Amino acid sequence: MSYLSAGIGPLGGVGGVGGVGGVGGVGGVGGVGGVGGVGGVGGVGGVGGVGGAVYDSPLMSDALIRSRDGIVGQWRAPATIPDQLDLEDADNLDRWSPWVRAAIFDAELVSRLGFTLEDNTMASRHMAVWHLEVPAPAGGNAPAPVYKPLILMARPTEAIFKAQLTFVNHYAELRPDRQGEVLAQVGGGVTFLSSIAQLHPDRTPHTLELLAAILRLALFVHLRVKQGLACRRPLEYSPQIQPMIVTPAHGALPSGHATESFAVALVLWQLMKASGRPGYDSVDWRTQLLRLAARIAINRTVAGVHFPVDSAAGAVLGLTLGQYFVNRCSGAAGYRAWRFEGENYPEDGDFIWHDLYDVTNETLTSMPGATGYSVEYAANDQVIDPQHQSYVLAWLWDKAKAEWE
Amino acid sequence: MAWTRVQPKIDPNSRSVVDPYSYWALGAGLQDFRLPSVAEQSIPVLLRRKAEPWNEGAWALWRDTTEDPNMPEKPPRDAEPFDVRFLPLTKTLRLIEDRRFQRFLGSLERFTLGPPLPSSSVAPSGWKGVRPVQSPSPGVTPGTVIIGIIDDGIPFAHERFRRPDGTTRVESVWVQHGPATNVPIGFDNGLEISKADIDNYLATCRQGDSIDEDEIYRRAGVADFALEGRKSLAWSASHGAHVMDLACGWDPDEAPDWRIICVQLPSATTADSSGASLAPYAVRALEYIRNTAQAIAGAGQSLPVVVNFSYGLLAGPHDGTHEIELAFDRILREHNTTKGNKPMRVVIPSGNSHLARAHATVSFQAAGDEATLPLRVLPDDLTPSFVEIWLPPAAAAGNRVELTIATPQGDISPPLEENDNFILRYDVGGKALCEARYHFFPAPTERGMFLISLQPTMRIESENSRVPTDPVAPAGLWNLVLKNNGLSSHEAVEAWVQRDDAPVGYQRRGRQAYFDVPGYEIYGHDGRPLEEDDPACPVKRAGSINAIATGRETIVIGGLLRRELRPPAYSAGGPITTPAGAPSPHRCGPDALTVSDDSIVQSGVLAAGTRSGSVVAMNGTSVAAPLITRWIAGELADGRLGNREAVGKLADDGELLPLPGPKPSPERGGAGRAPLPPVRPVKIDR
Repeated sequence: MSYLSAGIGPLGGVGGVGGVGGVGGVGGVGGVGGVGGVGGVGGVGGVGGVGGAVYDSPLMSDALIRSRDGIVGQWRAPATIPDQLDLEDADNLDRWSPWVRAAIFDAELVSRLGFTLEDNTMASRHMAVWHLEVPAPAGGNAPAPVYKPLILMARPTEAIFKAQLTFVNHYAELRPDRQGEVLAQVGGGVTFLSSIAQLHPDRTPHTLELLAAILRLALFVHLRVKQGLACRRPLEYSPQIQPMIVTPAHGALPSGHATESFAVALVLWQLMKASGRPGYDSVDWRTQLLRLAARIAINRTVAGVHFPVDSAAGAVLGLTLGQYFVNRCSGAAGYRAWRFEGENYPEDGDFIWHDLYDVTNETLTSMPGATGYSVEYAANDQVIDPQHQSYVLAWLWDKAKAEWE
Repeated sequence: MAWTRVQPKIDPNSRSVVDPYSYWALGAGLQDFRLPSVAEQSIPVLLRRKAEPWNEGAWALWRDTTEDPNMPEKPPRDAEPFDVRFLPLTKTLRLIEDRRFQRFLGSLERFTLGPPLPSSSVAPSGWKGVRPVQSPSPGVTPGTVIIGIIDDGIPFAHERFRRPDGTTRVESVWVQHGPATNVPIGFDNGLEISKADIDNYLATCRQGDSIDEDEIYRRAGVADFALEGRKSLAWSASHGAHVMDLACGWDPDEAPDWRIICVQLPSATTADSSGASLAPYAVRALEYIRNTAQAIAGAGQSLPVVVNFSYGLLAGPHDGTHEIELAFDRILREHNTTKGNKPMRVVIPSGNSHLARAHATVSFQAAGDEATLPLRVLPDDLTPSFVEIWLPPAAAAGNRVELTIATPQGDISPPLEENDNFILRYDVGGKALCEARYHFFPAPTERGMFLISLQPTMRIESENSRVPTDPVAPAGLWNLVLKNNGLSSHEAVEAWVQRDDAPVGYQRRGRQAYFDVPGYEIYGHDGRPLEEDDPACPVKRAGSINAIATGRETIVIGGLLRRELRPPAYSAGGPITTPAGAPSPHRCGPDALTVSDDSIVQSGVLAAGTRSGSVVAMNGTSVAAPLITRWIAGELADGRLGNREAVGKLADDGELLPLPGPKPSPERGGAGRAPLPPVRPVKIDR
């Protein structure tokens, strides 16, 4: 399983940014690069950067030069050339390196997101994440995108964080018991998914690309929301938290580990279920994946770097994003937008994943609007205009799905 | 910086009644006895009354103190000899120090304190259970057996304790330190979780068909991280889970009608080394199992019961008269001699301290001889340390032995004499770092003991202060010097260091002090730890047996390596001390040995972790005892006796096969080795 720890594992962490450095500004986003590498696990990815070593070594290139010189002969223009490839054609995706596709998927996903902070006329100022629909412009005009709500998140009060410190203190009891898991999950807990579903670069290369894509989406969104909500970590509140690992240098809420692990768990079971293989539609598979996601999130509280409310926010965000991603990939007609009302989070509330999600009906549980902290944005789905469905994402979804049939 | 002799406030008669640890716990050691940062605390006191009926005046004093309106004005005739009550700290102090209560203490044989509970865990005085007693489970058959488990981290929702229909075999759980929301009837503290509650949790704490054990323990309040206190059931493994699986765990489809009654001891008693006794909790635990088993059997009926109590202490009288031993023996004898009752058995481990260097035996050749026991007190010990030095029975009060103590810095105390009324105290800056006192235990112990109490050697902070202000004893060698004034050469003085370390999984606070005699050989020529004693060395492995495992009625079990068929090096044994007035001791050591480790390399045996489906290895005589508990349950189900003799015969039969390798000595191994089959057999050798 080392490929996972080397590839997906370091999400948000060490990332072998490698070839993906090329992905514009994204290269800097630590783990993103690493995930790009996952696509490359097929053996090709390396070509971007490391694999180049084989061809780009002075010895090899010298040999290639001499070899050509020896046989090239007089230059002759080709008599027949291939047709040009179709524009914006899904089939072309097969031709590119996985890391190249990763950049394409990211562009497809992130270019359809907007981030805003509500102005100070709002009682609690939410960081809002919007889904953009970009109609194809006519006649060379710039497109006029339409914004639709995806998720709105408000920061808990100071009093809530203060009260939640008690949990961090109580959970510290489990540090010796969870040490192995905490350390193995420092860079994200996705490796652990492969203990439930059979993930392997040779067997499920496109699934790994798909999961890497949702992980990067989750990463972009949770880091952007963390920047907006700017929540302090537990150790900033008390000198006695003394986490067992280094506290990451980004905000506490929403928990990135929770966001990523819940998002990826949801995408994985939805994919498995969509394959139609008998058994994958049972509650058991998704329950186990959700339990795993919750354990990964709780381990961060044990470690001393997250409050339970961070995990709750992360789970709500991850499950919302995961379903949005699945719906965009699979050509669904819409998605459900959500709100996380941090100020309504109970001070003595632990993170209980099954209070947030109904695993039987596969929906987030909407709490009463006035007092709940996890509430649907509207009773109806936000509509995705069929003409704006992404053929790129559909290609990835179908390829991945075929690996589970 | 000086040793002083201090006159205690309490008169000598009352003094012999109060457990000598109590003076330290309520005096110089109070800051370690109290629960930190809990405003309202209640202290359990265990009374053992004299055989005669209550004196009216004493009863009135006791009745006033408890403020229990349910206690009759006249003393009851048939009151139980043991009683446990929770009292506020101030009242407990007053009972001991206020002369008004001398008459009350005079009517007792013993007065023992347990570690406090938050008052929120204790029912208000005068509380009387009004909820209906849970109707006994239906369908009791001749094969029905009750297994009692007194332990820590009891996984009552675990599949190994379920029936084929998915309901639990656990009849009830008493969480002794839980919030006093559902106190068991007839008891004063904690929370009772009934079979109906557990079955309801099993039915409702689910996602799809998957039972969510995290959620069950959270809802039941035993692993809810909103609450204070240790959460043993949130760990992957617990002592209680392992022990209970070995005692009575089954694949649900194969489970016989073995019903389970559990008592979760307060974590303070599991972790404690403050000088408070677990006796009040242990005695109530056994009474609870007895009463609940009776309720399940129904009026006029009886069910056989076997109780596993895998706990231990290092220091004590070792003659069967420890408070817990006396109470357990009495409860068992009374139950088993009552006509119509099916048998009740209790199994206890022999202890893991064979190599702890916590036991020494001193005999003198002549008057005037001196013997030194160098006590190695370790640094970074956050809890007090105690040593008990027991004297042989005396025909008449005299001063046969005296004790002087030299601190690591060489400050030598004046002598503390046998029968001395004074307390030796070592003060620095007006704070006591060490106290030593002589205490005479009346019948049935009828022997005297020097108790040496030391402050922790390290403190992090004090109550209401981030900087430690409470006293700290210096680590190093404290020389305990015994001088013979009148003991003959066949009268031995026996010393034990009290247990002072943390169980597996608990944060270590204490560090085990030991006798550091230069002549003690730890390793043999082959590099292995030596398991036999040097007659010339006062530090003895022999006699390191668990100080609550020397009773008459309880069944005591040591460890065994399954492959090598010899006891593991840690498995402690006798001899025990001959009780005062008896011609010989009533047992040599444990009754038998059974498997505690698969082999010397594959340490431990396999049994359940806290969650269904998980298996872990743990070792110690604590995991040998429940294997015998399991065997006894089978015997009782088949209508056999399953008593000490039966366990002895089981081992005897094994030895007669014969088993390969030498039979262990009776002190170490009792009747011999009983390599019972594993509860969790493995197809491939571990």
